[in-house]
Amino acid sequence: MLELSECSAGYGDHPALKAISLTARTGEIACLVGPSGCGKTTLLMLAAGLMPPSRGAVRLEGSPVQPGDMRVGLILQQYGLFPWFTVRENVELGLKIRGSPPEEIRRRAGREISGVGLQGLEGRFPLQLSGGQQQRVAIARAFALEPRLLLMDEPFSALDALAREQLQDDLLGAVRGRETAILLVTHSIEEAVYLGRRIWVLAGSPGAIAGCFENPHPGSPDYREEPAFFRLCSQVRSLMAREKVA
Amino acid sequence: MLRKHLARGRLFGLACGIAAVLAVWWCLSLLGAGQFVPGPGPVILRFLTLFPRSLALHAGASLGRIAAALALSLATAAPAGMAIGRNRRLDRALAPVIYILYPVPKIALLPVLMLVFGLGDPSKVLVVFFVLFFQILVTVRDATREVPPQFLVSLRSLGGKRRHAVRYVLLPALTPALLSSLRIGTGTALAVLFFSETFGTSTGLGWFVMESWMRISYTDMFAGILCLGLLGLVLFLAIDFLQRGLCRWQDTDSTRP
Repeated sequence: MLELSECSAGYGDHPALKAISLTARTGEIACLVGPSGCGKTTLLMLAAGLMPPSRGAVRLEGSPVQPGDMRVGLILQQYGLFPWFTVRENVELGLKIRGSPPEEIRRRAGREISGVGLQGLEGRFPLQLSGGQQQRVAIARAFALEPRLLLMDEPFSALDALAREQLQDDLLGAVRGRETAILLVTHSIEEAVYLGRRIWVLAGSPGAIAGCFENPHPGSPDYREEPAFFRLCSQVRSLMAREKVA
Repeated sequence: MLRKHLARGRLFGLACGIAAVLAVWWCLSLLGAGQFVPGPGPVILRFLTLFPRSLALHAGASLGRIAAALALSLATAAPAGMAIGRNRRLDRALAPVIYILYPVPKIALLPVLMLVFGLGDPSKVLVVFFVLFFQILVTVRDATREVPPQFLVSLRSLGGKRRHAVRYVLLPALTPALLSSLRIGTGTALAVLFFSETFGTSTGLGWFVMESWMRISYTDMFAGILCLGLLGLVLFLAIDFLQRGLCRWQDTDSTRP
């Protein structure tokens, strides 16, 4: 479980986040929604240990998150895949850096590549793949390291509607049975409500948590067509609208 | 199939290029300049006789000097360019120095270099090195600045340290720029090498061409010039070949079904 308690952060004199308290539980997806410029990406940098909070603490399973923490995986908006490496090399890189034995590297990379349905494309370079396929590679690369926390920044925003829904379902499938907490940042309310067991709303400048919604059955079949889905979407939307006016 | 087709297209292009050069050359030799510009026929024949006897040796000497200068400049300018590109403060401190030294014609340094390093190969290699050094330095610095930071963040999230960033991000990201700077530098380097070989040596194509000129043997002189052209061609083709091998990832179409 990831816990942020009373975290503030900023760039120089410019505060970006104010007293953020937030949790993301193992085996679940927690979604963070908010308008652009409210510090969503900064919050991910904090959770990844890539930026220290100016106040407060970031803990993963009780211990502080360190810079370059091995327990944390990060998937950036534009995938962060290395275009000069093939699919397989991209997925293997993290394991190689960690100095895993070669047969272990091959085994785990192979498992994760088939896990996202990309077997047969191991030798391709990212620029030769579609946006959805690139995002699958990024997911396979992150999962190959068996992270306790996976952070995703707008992972599906660049995809067309059908590919996005397919990948959302794939992600839900991938989380099941893994000891991983996922914190997913998005600006799409529908995406947050479909995926998130909890939905955290970030608003204002500097960004602060405006509210949190419980979502009992995220990702259940046909959830996107159910009244409960629309009801929750409109609750989240009205909170965000209220924050904007305030 | 596709690859074969492409290879044939490339060879065809090369043949066309050579034919065009020969045609222009032949026209020039006809334009009354025949006395000073011998036609392609006699020069090529002379080249073929001279090459096994002496030209190969001179070409080898020139190639050796170019290769030494290339290796030396790559080994120093590429890391320095990366360091300056990654460090704003270092850049601010060094940029004025680089901008003053970059446009200084390096050939003007030859007399000084010959005084310090003697008349032999070291001064010749060094003058070419200086030409290449600044070109590679500035290109690599600018390309380093443009490496998207998301790659470095992404690498850190995979547990990568500084040395991993050089090996897995900077070097591959900079390879295309590095090869371009090499391509631009090689042209200038050949010209500078030619000039430097007219002093204090009796090997190298520069010496051979100037010596033939002194003997008023224009056919020999043009055989040397032809050899110099071919040396350039070989170097450029080698860089293209490297590019195709190292930058396969930029080619989005070749393996797409």
